Amino acid sequence: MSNGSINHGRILRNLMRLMDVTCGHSLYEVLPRGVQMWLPEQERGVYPDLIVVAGAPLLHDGQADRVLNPCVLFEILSDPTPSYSPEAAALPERGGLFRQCRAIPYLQAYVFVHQTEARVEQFYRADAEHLWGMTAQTGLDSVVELAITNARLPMMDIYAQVDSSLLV
Amino acid sequence: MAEAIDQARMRMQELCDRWGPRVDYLAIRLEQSEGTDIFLRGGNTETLSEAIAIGGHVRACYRGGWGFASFNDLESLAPCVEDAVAAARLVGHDETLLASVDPVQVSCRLPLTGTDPRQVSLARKKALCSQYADLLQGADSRIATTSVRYADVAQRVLLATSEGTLIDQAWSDMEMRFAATARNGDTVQTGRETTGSRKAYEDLENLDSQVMGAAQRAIAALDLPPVRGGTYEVVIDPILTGLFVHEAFGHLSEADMAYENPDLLESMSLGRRFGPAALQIFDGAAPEGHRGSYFYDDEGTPATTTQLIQDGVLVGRLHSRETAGKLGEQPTGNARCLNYHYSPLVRMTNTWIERGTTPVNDLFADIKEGVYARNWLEGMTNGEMFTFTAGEAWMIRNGRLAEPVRDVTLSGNVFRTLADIAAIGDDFYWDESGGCGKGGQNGLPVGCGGPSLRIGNVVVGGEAEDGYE
Repeated sequence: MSNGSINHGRILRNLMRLMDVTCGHSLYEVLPRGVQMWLPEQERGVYPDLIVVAGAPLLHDGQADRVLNPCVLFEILSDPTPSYSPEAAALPERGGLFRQCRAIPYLQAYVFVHQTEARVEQFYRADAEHLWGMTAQTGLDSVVELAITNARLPMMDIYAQVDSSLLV
Repeated sequence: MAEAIDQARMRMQELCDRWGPRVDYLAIRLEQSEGTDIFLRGGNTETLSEAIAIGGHVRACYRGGWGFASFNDLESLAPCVEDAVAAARLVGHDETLLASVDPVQVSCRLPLTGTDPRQVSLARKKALCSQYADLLQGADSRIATTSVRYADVAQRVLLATSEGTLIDQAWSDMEMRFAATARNGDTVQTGRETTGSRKAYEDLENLDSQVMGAAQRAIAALDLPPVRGGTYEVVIDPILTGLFVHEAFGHLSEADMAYENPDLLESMSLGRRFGPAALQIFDGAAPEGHRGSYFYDDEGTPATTTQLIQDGVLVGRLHSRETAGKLGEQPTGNARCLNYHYSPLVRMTNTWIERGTTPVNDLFADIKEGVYARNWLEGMTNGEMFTFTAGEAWMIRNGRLAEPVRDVTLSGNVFRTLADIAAIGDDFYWDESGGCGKGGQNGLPVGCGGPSLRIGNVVVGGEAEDGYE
């Protein structure tokens, strides 16, 4: 969930820039925070940090502020959260938005971008419709690869100008 | 279209003969497919399509380097062969290591035991979907949304190689997915069912009670208490066993994953003990009649049955010709591609844990407080870590099934979990619902099977009720 910090804004701007360069002339469209994504099963809208739509946005009941078909969602995590560890007993369960969005049939990837460390966790549809795989990138030298859009997002660029004192 | 592919057959052999000597290995794979896709949400039709496709790809290997070109116009076949050969010669600077297989010339079709879905009209398939959607929607007034998905595909694949192989193989594959979401105020619960077949359209008919089960589980879960999180002894049903053996263990047995990851290769050392002496795990396309069954893989290697775990010890892994060649092992016939757009990868076929000897009722014996979980709703995996959400669950108290609970997630590390298998049931079930994903090739049909299992030390988590704005 957004806390509106300057680092949150910088990461969001960087992601928007990177994704837009990648998707600008393809079938994908990138929409920044503020666009409402509609969850029909729960009859309510949510506001992810970044929405990527494949093809034309599908609108709930034709309402222009209710997008139904994200293929990739980005969420910038504001607070320090437990990271994945091979020693952990379970995979980390992030905030409620991901849980709610997993039922969206169009969604192929959900990306958590940490704000207090250079760390990106990508959940992607793996086996079967309801089975998600997860990969994590840590450190500014690594690169996040989004299979669906063929985007390659260098961590250095995702965290460009982000106050490094907040990165551990 | 059948004529087109038949005419291309001769050209494929000629091109293999002409260009084969310029590389170490050349394969041309031609495919024609006809498929149906239907999706109903809330009883309304969102997708209703029939599609026909023809295309192919060429793979060439030269001094260990691969060239690949795909096409959807048969006129492009010859230029694509040239492209693939040129690409392989550009990147190859090492040694080609492909395990040998005997060349074979054969035509084969996976046997159907009933009606071919190609002989069933789109209207009849749509009516079947509507029948199930009505059933789900009418189950209870608290059903908020339903979805029914139907997909079938009939594929015919021609494979010609520079080694003299020419295989003409065909099959039909069908799948249906059902979901019902029940809502009561802020509480939302979902029930799901999935099924598939490579045998007969009739396998998808008369599923009323199975489909209804999805709606009933969603409704029942609205009023159930969430499970109390903790570490429990659990008993899982054969469907969860199948999911576990495929997702948590099977992928680690794919030799390309291990070959590219030295840590994993070490973890998956042959001879290492993983589970109890009664544990036997297999994968193979050779057993007939399942979603992952075929005669030859996409490199022309005959289907086999590979024992992965014997008496609790790792004894095998799954191979393409390249991984088998590089690791000095036998090819297992597990090189598969989703369609002509992709190169074959090492993939599972039908993966199962063999039936054990413990009567199912005895699996619960002596469990003071545990959890019995059946079926699954969703899951997450990351290497050796897994989290699966059970489709329905009960507490076990003093060796007996007790109250039903909801929001049961089972988490763990596959190696520790295999070692914690305490007993293997004497039941067995093939789950034909599987669609496997790897390297962007998602939805590859697979079969999963197994008995009920009793497993110790499983982390069971209940779902938290946090919101998001």
